[in-house]
Amino acid sequence: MAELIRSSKACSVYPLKMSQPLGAVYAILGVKNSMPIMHGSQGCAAFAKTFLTRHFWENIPMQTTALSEIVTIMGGDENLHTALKNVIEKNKPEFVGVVSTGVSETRGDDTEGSIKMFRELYDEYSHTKIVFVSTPDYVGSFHEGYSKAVSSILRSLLRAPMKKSPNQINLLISYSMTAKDIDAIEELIKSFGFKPVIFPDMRSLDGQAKAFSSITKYGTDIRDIEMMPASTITIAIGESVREAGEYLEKKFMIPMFYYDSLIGLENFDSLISLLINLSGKEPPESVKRWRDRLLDAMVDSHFYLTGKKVVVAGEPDFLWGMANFLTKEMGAEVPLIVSPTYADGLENLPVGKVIIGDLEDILLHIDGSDIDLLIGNTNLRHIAKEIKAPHYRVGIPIFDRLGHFLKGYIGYEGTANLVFELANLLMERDEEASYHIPEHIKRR
Amino acid sequence: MKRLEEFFFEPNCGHNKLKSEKEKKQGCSKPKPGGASGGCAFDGAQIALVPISDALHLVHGPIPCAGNSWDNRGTRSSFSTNYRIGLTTDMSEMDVVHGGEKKLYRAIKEVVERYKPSAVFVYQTCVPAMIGDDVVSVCKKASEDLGVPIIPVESPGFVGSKNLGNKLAGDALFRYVIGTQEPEYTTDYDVNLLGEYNIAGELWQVKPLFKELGIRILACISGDVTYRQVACAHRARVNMVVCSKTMLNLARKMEEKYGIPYFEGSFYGIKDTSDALRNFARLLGSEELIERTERLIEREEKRIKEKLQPYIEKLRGKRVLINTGGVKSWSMVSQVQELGMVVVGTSGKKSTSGDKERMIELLGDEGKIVDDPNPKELVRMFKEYDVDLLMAGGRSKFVALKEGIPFLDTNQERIKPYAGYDGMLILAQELVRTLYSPVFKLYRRKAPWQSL
Ligand code: SF4
Repeated sequence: MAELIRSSKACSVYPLKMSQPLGAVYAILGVKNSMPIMHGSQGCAAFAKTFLTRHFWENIPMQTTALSEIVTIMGGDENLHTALKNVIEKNKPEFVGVVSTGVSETRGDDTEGSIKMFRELYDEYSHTKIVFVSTPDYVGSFHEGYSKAVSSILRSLLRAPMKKSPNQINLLISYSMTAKDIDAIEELIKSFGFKPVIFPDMRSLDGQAKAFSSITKYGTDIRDIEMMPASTITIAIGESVREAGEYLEKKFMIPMFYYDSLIGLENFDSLISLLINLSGKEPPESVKRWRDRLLDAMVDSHFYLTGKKVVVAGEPDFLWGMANFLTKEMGAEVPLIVSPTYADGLENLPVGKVIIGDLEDILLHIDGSDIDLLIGNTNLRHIAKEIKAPHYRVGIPIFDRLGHFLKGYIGYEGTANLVFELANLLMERDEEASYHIPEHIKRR
Repeated sequence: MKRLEEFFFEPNCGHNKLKSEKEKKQGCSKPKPGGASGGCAFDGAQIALVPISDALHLVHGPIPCAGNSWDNRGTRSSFSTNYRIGLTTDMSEMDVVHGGEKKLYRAIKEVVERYKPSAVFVYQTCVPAMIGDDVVSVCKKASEDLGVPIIPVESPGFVGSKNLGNKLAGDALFRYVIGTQEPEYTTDYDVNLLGEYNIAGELWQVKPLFKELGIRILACISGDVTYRQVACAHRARVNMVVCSKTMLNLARKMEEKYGIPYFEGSFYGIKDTSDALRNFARLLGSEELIERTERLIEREEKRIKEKLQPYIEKLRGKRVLINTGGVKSWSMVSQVQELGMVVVGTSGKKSTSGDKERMIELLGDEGKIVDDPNPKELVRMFKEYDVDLLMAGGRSKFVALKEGIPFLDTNQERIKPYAGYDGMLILAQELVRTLYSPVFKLYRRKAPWQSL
């Protein structure tokens, strides 16, 4: 059981937190032919758009209701309605996700009611699905925003129970998974003879050539989402989608199998066992081969990782897999993890301290001990520089490295990639350190 | 926010002169709901002030304003890294209900004690403005208690665009900073640059020229500058406004109050760089300086033209579309033309009527002025004008790349400096690199299964 510390500073320094609306938008972008609209001032959407563009190196569909000073004070539905009309007419999305912001929530907007009114006033737009997610900026973080959006989309698109289709499985995907991760799990599930419905499918932002589009070109098809009640089970990966899984369980009696992460041997073994039991089939040869390779990779890498001190920072879904794998499977020590927001069960992780705070808190809480490795988003580089530790980039945003979204981290294959990358960083550092001439020898 | 009106009556802003009374009241162009969105006033204020590198920049508001934007600009500093520390009060629901003033005060105190900055700029954003947090009073009190200048910047995003934010930043400097300290000594050749942000170190490209001429840059507002330098900026003899629109009102006010004459110019391209130096020499009013400047210009132009020759051969006749804002849309046109390239169009977005006149003059019959093309129109223009390369901000980067059109970033995310004579060479090198990259040919190649 870790010590849970909530940072009590008035000023967040080197912020780790990303806003709730940003998390919601992220999930909305995982739907095919969709367009997110931020209900707020223009700057909120502009920042969010630039932020995600820099992370993905892709154009990010996003619009704003552009509340300005007068509108901000007066209230009113006009901006929202105009934005919806413009977006539907110009971009022709099948799906529009409206997320609120600090501005519209402080103004006291009844956005949900306003969307209902829009529906009544404009019959001609009824073919476009519109879903609202309430995400004031001053509550929660990216994690909650993503979680709420996933649940809200299901709640508003799914209606009556359906006849079960025995081969269909719901796959709820954490924001911590990359395009490669999603490929891997899709392939695996198909190899056992099941048809997965993957939601949200972030491969919509995986880098597509010759395909400029103002709305998402890929992602989960709305018709597939609507078929989700017909699935036999739900596999939920990541705390952020647990609530959505629970909803499917309660409302449509679909049993949920929950994994906080699919990084590491044990997690994946347990998923494979589940699939073996469900299908009565053996996994394909390639999966068996990769399990061997992973074991070998872990043995080879342990020289560099076992006993090392690693600090991990990020939104909650990134923390579970990393912390468990590093400590329980690789024998590293994680003296502290930092999350911008609390999520249920974080304090049960096998780490020293769980800090709810910002990146500066790492400096304030490592208590002078030498840290061998830092794991987290690009912004962590400021801390890495300060304490002169190698920095492995995982998380959001990453804007000083290319290709992160096409790397795998989950499953036997992904974990092997991860463990090699971490070990390589430490190998380089250890090698360098061993050439360091001690002062007393130099003086001679 | 009564003062805002003043900004829409910028007498020297060509953009405003052309507007009817009614249009003026409405201010600069309003963002459209459901249209492409640009940055907010807070964004603009931050852009203009964050380069004051030994100060801290504290954003008062919930997380998105600072959280999604800190450390995202390409400005470089040789003084301090304070400006790269993201700081925010990260207001919670409780703060919104009870007001955020106390938290703001505590936040200022914390960071002053921990980081010992020369000053703290405090940015007001939308939510605290809506609930009525009085940032000015908090800053005043904190400043008195802590003995460090704490400067309020009233820039809630909803008041307007990035451009307006630049102006609000200029206003904050004029009211609270400029003229509050005295330089150790002054010279007859002290000048300021206004609106130069030292993106990718562009200021450093031109600084040696000033040094050689014996002109001292007292303050560059704001790029690679200290708080103290800005505070002493009122002792300059000449101001140069590097970005015509946004810092113009600051230049005008400094002229009124301190009698500092100003001119508008740019460091993009050989001709513009030379012109800027000439203007300084002329306004500083010494025959000897004018003469020395001419000699330097002659030498530098000759040197750089020789170096450019091999690149010009490769660039000649290549067709460029420019989609960037304001002053850059004409200054970059001449820069690219000096390299022998054909500008088939440039954007009139965020440009004053003066900007537009210059563009028309430069473009001749071949080029078009396009008004803020959306991605679809851009794609159409690539085909229609047979475009070889797009120069634009990050927003259109992927529109071009997806179409297999080479792209050069002209915005804050660029990491190569294109200013001054040497910047011209770097620009030429970058253009050749991207235009002649083999990837674009491969990009158009059919997949094996497509020819079946
Ligand atoms: S528009 Fe307002 S709330 Fe949004 S980013 Fe700008 S200052 Fe912050």
